[in-house]
Amino acid sequence: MKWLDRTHGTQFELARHFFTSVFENELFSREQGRRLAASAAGLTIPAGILLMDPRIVDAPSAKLRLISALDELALLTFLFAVAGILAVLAWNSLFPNRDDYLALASLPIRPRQIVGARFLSVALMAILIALALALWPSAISPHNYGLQQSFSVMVVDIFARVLATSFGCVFVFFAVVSIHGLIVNLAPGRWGVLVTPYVQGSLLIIFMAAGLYSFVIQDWRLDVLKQVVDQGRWAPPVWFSCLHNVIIGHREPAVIHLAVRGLKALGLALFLSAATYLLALLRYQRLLLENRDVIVRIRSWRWNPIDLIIRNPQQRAIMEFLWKVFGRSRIHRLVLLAYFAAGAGVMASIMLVAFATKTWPGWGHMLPIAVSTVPLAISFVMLTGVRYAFLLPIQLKANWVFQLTESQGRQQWLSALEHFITLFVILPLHLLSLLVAVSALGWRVGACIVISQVLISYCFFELLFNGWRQLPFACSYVPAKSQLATVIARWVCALGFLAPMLGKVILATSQMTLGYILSLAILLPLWRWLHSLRQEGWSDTDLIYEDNDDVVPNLGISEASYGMTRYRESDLSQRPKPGQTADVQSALPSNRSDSTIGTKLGPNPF
Amino acid sequence: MSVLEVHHLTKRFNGIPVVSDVSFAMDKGEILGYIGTNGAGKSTTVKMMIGLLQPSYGQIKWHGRSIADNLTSFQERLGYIPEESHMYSFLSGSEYLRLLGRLRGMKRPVLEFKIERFLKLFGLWDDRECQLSSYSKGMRQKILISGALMHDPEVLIFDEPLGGLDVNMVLGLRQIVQGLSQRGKTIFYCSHVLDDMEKLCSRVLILQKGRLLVDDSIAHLREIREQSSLEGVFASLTKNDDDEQTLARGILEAMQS
Repeated sequence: MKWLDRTHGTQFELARHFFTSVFENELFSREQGRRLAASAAGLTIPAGILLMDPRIVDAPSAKLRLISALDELALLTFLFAVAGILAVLAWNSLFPNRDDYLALASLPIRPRQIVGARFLSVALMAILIALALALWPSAISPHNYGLQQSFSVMVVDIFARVLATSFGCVFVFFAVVSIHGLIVNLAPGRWGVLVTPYVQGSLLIIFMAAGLYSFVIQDWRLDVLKQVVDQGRWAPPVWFSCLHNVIIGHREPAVIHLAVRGLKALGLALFLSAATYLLALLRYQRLLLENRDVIVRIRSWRWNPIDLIIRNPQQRAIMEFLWKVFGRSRIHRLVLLAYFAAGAGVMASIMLVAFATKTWPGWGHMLPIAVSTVPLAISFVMLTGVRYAFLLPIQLKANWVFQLTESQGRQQWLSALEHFITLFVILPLHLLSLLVAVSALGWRVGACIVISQVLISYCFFELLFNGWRQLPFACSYVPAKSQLATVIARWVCALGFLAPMLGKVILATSQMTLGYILSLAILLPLWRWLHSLRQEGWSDTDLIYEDNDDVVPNLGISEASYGMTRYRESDLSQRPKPGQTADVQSALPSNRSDSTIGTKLGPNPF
Repeated sequence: MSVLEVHHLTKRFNGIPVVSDVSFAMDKGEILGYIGTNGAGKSTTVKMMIGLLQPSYGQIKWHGRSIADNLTSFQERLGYIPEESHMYSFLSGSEYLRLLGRLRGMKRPVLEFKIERFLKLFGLWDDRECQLSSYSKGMRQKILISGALMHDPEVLIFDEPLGGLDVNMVLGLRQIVQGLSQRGKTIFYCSHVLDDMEKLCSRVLILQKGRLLVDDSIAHLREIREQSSLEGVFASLTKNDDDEQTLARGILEAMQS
């Protein structure tokens, strides 16, 4: 029997369990996580090629060193961003939670063992991630071979790079752990639940922006590098780049100072994490087991502005349900914030890229383009985010409510969805955009831009929801169906090409009366056509409650439903007579329709 | 000496008493029933008995020693079936049992043998590699029962163990509990199914609003309360007919209003 297969001490077994489930959460199973990790690993090769600098070819040695330093900064920024994103993804596993204590209740395990095992598993994961991120790029760094160093110097250089990079990654990982620890201890209960998704979203924005910006760093002018030690003293990549330099023998006081700062920051992150773990251990009974502060805030007034807009009581109920899911479900709020973070991160990066390029035209020139492009890009991202959040079930076992009432109010459900998107995504976003556009470009141009943006957002919504076949939050969901590369390629096209191109067209046409009228003459019929297409699609298709029978275990709801009973009855009526042969399988509905509920059956007899 | 003794057990949440001054003792092989209305404090008592919550006052003794002093030793000899199935739902049935066994320090060959036996006996062998999230309530309950019995505990705490089980399994579990009692296991049995309680327990504790109302044998209770069943005894102690009628009338009126 292998050593790992044997039973070891409680602490070891607990740490093993926590370690293997660090990235388990509501969205990813272990298998899907592996698939995602494999896709991400596959993408590192093209990403690495993007980081490689063509300027190193035939560059003189002194210049090569500067280029190498710039590339190191870019690489460190990118790897720190990846480490940060991974830490945010592992958020639920960073600290022991209520489920840990309840699932392990009555086992001969002390709370300190649970906390200790969590810390150990997180520390191991951080080290593993840091080494995985640091080893490969540091070892194959082309500059090690281009600088014509002796073999021993090169080995020391590689070692220094690995050490500095992994220290930096561990720092970033534990900085996220510390932030989580502070929330656990300072904002327990309802406040923690409220604050957490916003903190996660903000961290994602920062890491996404940093990761994307890293591709710009290598385009900096070489003389900028001389100012980095002064102007970049607050930036972790600079600290750990200096640490690398100190290890290989640089002794400039400013460099040593920043290297020490990096080590101090690492120490502080580790100390803060350990302290918050200790504090959480001392207070775990009160924080997790005795905290009953889960009372929902009840409104003291009964008037609701939505009531004025939507008269139908069914639609109002549905709107309220959708709103409350987003308000109270941590995972749905997190998904929305993650999408917003990604969108805002990408747009911030585009601005930073523009700022960093040599041909920076100044804010006066950038502002109109930003006003016409950014809201459009964010609306694309938010609409996709809302659609994705609708795909995630809130409580599959509660589905029977929808299945029973759907036939009585299906049209109301789908209309409510449309109203929800208008009221909570398109309208607020473009109202905000109107304020900025009008103050930046004046009433006429600003209003023209926003009207065009609204129409394009609606067109995008119509396209996005054209094949929509389910009620929000009411269908089982199989994650990671698309390959990561495909998803990234789509987003690069949408945010890197489509949004800027449309933004420029909007800006140009809004400044020409004839051009603007022409653009409206195209956009309005286009929206009407897409709208009618979606409406037809919605009225024709059967709704689904299970995404994929093969992957998601069947809950047995569809078999017991009225829709399936009708199917079976029709099957029986078509049963072949004795002596007549028929392929029984072909008479059965297909895999997908097998798990659908008929929606054109009229009122439910129950 | 009693195997398990509970002395003046009290628990307050934010100063509000949930369990107040509960005391009882259990002997070897005894099945003690614990009943009460919703919110009476049964689950809080159980959570203190398994060491999940610390009592605000009072103590629990195992073989004369406070469990607070040797909690790990007590938990090594404890089997617990919780009311709510708090499990790592991303694990499969066999993985979950393997985790429990390993955390209890069971050697791998013994553990694998027991997992196979329990899963086959409970009819879960074919589903052993499916994630717990896909299990029905009854299947999860069978896994929890397996997890509680796998290490041959001395003290067993059943908190609503019948949830989701079919009739055959309920009858089977009743036999298991009786068999455990005959083998000298001490069993603390919380349930709302009074019929089952009546068949299994020799003695019951009735809890109301956190306070112990009754600690007596079922036969004696039936006799002094002049009732033919435990259900009647419980009803006569915890509610009156007027309440019941008012509730029923109110609901019917609300439904038609």
